[in-house]
Amino acid sequence: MPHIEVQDLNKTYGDGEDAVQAVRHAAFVAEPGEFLALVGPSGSGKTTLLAMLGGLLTPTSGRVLIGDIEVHRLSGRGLARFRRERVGFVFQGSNLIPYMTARDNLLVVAAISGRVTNEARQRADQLIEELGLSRRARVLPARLSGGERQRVAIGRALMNDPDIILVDEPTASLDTERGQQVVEMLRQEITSRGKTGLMVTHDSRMAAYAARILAMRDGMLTEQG
Amino acid sequence: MLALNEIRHRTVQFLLIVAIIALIGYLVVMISGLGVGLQEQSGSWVRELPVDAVVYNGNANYSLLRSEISPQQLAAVQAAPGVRAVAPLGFFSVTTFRDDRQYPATLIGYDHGSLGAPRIVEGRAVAPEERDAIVADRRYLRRAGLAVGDTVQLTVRLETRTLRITGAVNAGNFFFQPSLFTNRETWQQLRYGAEGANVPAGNVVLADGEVVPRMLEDAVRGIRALSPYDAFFKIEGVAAQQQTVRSLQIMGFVIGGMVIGIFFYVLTLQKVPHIGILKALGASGWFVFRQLLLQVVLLTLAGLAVAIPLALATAALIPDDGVPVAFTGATYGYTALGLLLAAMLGALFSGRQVAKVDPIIALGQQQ
Repeated sequence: MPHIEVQDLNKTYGDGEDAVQAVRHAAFVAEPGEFLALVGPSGSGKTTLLAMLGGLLTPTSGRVLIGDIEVHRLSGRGLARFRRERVGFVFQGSNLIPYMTARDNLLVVAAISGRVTNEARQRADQLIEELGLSRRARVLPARLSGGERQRVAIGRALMNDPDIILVDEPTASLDTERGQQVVEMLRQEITSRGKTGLMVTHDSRMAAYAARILAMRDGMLTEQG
Repeated sequence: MLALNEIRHRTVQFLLIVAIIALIGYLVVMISGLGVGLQEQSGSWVRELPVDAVVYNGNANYSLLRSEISPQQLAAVQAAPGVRAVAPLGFFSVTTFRDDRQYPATLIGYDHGSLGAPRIVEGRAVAPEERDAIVADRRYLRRAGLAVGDTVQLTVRLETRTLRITGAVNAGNFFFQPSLFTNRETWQQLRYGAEGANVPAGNVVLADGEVVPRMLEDAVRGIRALSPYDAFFKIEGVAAQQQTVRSLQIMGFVIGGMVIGIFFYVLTLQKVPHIGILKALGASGWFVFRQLLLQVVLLTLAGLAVAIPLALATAALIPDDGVPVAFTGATYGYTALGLLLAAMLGALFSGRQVAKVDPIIALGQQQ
């Protein structure tokens, strides 16, 4: 079963003459272990599509299937649970909780799900080690470098062992070299763990790390071969 | 986890909140202490009397001072069904003096060995046949610089009499004056100039046994009866006084709750981006609000932990005959509970704000 299946997805903002069609008839399928890049100029509808995949935004019409879940049939509570259990997010500029150490930012995911178990602690420590952050585990985000912060964000996205990982402009606040390191690390984590990753970026050099590239222009989605 | 982490890393903000809660808590605890103090001054011992009923003359509007019980009424109460013991009590507001210094007091006449007898803590009680002898409240003795065995004087009916102090009690105050106790015959002599069947037996009668005040009223004509609890609140001014204190307390709670609520509201507004992230990660609004509620409870308790010792210290500094402030376990309990409740209600402001945060703001925002 594919991890992501998007069928004739549409999103319109506003109505009447002011209506803006942000996403038009989008459709694609992504399998486990695939890492996709979603490119396009700003305002092309990339983030809108990402938000609908992650259950943060309701489409005007069409379907999103994540595994066997039809996302937009879920209630508000069901959506929160879906994000908690099936989705890993890596946000622009990392967006870590500023008053929590790197390790605690990973454990937040467990706290949200109910309890911080010993298992969760072990998983957090393991991820921190894999991401090369062992010596920075007890440091607050403000004292981490941009690249370190984005690695913590990747760890956080992997904490709940999700099916899909949605990445929003991960390199926006990094220089090219650091950005490339982060994206390479993302690619590795996603493909080796059999997740499905979708990364929104406007930077074609970063998109080159992805196996498939989807391009958006004025709400229309095309796959670049 | 989140709640504590945030407190640890934003120490200054949270210490500020604790300080404000402590100040409000201090105010409310002090007001509560004032309420208890005023009760003690008014004669809260009436409330604690170990009897079933306080019996008044039917025409006295439940006034301890204005009621007068005739010997016939006393006999009728004694003979009423269910009554096993009675104890007439007489009150008389007096000014005692020694040399040129004056000490106001309430003189209470009682029968030796009756239900109305105070517990002697020093010296001895006034003997049944002993005239012009008193047992004095300790605070009175301390303030007047007197000791058991000394004498004081008072002028009533244009006649100056000398009273001998035979013992001391911890009786508390009555009508904001310390209590002096004497036998009922002396009280009658001082107040009415005579003793026996032609003068009132007392102002009120305490009745005990299996007595229900309402049934006593039906059994004996021309009297009114109340439980000691109700009798206390019928003392002139007590009800109004307690209502005033209660209003101040409630205002303290309301203002406290609002200040805490507004403080947390501002903090919550500052945290909207983080709340968006938590919600995007799948946290429910309830999860986020729970963290906030936990912080409110912890900080309020911390504030109270400062406020209560502060109030105790203040009370210790206030001189004995100054502002009447007293504390009981219940004072702290109610105050702490009230403030906690008010704080949690205040936190509900922020609850709405938390619920309104759309997780989509986590996308496309840069830190």
